[in-house]
Amino acid sequence: MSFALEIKNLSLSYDLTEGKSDNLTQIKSDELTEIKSDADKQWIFKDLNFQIESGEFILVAGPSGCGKSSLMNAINGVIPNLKKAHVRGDIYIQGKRITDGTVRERTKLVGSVFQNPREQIIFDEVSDEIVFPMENLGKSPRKMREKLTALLKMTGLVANSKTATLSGGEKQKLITACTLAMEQKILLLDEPLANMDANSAIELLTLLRKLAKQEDYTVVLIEHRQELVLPYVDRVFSCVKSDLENVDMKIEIWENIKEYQTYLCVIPQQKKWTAEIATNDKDAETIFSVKNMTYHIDNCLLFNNFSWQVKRGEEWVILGENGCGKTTLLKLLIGFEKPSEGSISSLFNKRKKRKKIGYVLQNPDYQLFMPRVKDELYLNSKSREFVEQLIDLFGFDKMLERHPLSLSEGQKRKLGFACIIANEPEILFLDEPTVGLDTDSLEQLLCGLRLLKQKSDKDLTVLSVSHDKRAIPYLGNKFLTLSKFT
Amino acid sequence: MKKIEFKAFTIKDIVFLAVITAVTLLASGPIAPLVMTVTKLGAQAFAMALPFALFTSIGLRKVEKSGSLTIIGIFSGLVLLLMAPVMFFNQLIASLLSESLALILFKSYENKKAILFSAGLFSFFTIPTTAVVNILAKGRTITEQVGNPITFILFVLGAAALGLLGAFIGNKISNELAKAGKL
Amino acid sequence: MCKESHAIHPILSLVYSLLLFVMGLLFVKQVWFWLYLITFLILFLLFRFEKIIIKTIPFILIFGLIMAGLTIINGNKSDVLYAFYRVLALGLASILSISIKPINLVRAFNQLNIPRWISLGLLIVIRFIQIFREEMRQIRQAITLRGIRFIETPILWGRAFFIPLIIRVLSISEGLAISLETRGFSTEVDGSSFEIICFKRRDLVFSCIFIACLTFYIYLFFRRF
Repeated sequence: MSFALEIKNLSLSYDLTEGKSDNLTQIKSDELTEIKSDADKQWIFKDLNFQIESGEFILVAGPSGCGKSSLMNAINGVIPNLKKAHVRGDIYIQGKRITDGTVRERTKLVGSVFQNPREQIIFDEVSDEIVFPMENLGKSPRKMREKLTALLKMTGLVANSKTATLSGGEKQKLITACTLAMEQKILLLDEPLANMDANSAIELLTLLRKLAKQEDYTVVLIEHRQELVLPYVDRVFSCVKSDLENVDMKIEIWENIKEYQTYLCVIPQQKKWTAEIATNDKDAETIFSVKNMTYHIDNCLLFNNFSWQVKRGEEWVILGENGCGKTTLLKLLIGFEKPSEGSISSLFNKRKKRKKIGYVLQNPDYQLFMPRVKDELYLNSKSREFVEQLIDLFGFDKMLERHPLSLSEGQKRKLGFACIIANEPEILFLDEPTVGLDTDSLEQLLCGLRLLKQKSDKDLTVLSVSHDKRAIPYLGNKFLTLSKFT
Repeated sequence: MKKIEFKAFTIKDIVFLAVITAVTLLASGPIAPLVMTVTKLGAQAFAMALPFALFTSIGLRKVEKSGSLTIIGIFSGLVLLLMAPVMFFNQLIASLLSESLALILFKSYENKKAILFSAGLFSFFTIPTTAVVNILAKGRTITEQVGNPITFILFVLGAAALGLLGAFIGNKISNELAKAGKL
Repeated sequence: MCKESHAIHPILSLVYSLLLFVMGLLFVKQVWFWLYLITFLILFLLFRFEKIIIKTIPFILIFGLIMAGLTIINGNKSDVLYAFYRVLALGLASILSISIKPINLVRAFNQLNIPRWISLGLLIVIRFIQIFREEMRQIRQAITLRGIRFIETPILWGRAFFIPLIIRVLSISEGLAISLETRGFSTEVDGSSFEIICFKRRDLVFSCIFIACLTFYIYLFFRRF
């Protein structure tokens, strides 16, 4: 019997031949001149073996940066065809060996859905985007029309909607629909729920489950929000630290979801951090006061006659579905957006006072620009001692001389957070600070927050936006839930 | 003698060149409409030189293949075609001229001087193209287009100098990103 | 399938736009220049371009006034007027080209067997101008949030602007390239087309009136010689 997907002795390393990597654009395993021996290489994973049957729904879980996306990219051919890496071993799809296939060849068999749908959409209208992959595969107009109608019905999207006005969740659905349009029976999805609210995530998971059970699709889903996904999946491939010295991760396969859930609950949590319930001083000065604010964006009403007050020392978590205006509210408070009606008064309106605000953006790429990690941390920092504490906490000591942009995504996120709190702000805005972070990194981040609170003598005001159930209880003790206008 | 090599462009190359063109047009966006209808020869090239050179040099550092600048010229020309159709020819011919000369002189973009030359003088080469287009399409003589010779010389030298400065900055940024393993 | 739309065939729109621009610049010094503008504006209104005209007018007026203002510095009264007229000519020509839906232009290019990478590149440029406008805004906001001011530390400001911008370019273009390849796009294969952009009766009527009007003004222009 042939499996839908079979991996035999698959190994992957980004450790290319020394000193020659700059000249290599596409390195395939058979073309590589090995200078380093296998034992010297650092492998992301080595000699992986697993089989997945048709109709199975698999969750691939594991800490950020452990190699989940690399595994997906090795299957769909992005590695080594588009991204440099050394790949060894065999990949079979429906019994056919595809290890040496190009991305286009593999695309006919495997559909891939990536993160950041906004950056993958190129057309103005939903229908054009969905038919694009079918046009690429040379499907007939009649076939395209039929498939388009079916996909629109399945996803609830509207054919002539403008892609620019779709919410994050709708954009993800659109990109998923594009993949489904190509009718591959194997789907690989890389954190499709990362920026979705619970309702949109459940809708997408239900759709994927239906495809697996009713239409025999094989679904492989990489996701951090396991609590949401586990009820839908058949097996879990848990990526854990390898026992071998020169290998980063190995896969543990869990056939029984309930056992896996129990395992998740008993993982020892070294909680250095605790949820502190701040006693809010009723007489504390008001920092932000929103009065009868109305705010529209592109004819879409986000706030209508909204009033709210934030006092010094308060810790707020802003909750709500995607696209309901959480980040916009932070930007309104800071003065980057202006309300359509009503007013926002702030103690930090003036430029000099604005320096007392720290804002951790969701994507650290916007905030990192210095040539070394060290320079990034010390830029505008107030005390050397505090920066040293942060270096120690986040484990930056071995990477101080490195370029911030050469760090992994998780490390960059932590650095982005650390360099903002190193400025010891009086008010801290956190926009989804924990997206894609594993438990250890989350712990470090919350510990850093606690250190800052201690330094500020509990005078620190924190306003966070988060979808992460693991972090919400520790980010604040006051909650503002926003909802969309229907 | 080393020959000019032509390698096939991958989708990754084309997408990068298209995206860098979008950024180039955006960066020069506030200036473009102001100079689009200026009749003094060289004024447009002078105003656009710095942003064009800066971003195109980064584009050429990432896609070091013969023809990259022409592709940038085609993409920017096609977008400008939707605003001022004459600009299409301007962009296309200037990029072809600049790239051809750079490759004749330096053979390949692996030589950083080729990138500096090609990206740096891209805007400069729009000057002769604009002059020819003005003669053919609008019937304006060279003397009419040049106007005050001193202003013209300043525009021409300024376009070259600003272009080379932009390409130099672009190269500096590229060096740093290459060091960080990002380029 | 041939799509119903109010727009003129994209290739015709491009050609007519080019003609209007070149002729407009030739005609700016003619006493009947206003008549030329009004004639084509009426034609555009008849063919339902009113929304684009309304959107374009403020930009044209602003740029026209800026250009006229700049010309005042070293020009006489008529130079100022001609500078303003040139912007009007540009605006008139742009009405047709702005009306082109990029996807229709791409499909028309594909029908003319223009390589798909060119049309795809055009789509990406148009789409990503919008995306990077937002990206640049976010980068500027991030700079403000780290307390960096151009006036105080211009070099640091430059680093804080260009490094994240190029990183975003690299990251977005890599993601997009991977997404395109995994959606089956290839430079070597032609693919099929969901919609056919065909020449309609509407295009024929528009072309007849357009060419007649333009010929009339060209005649007026050359009559003086």
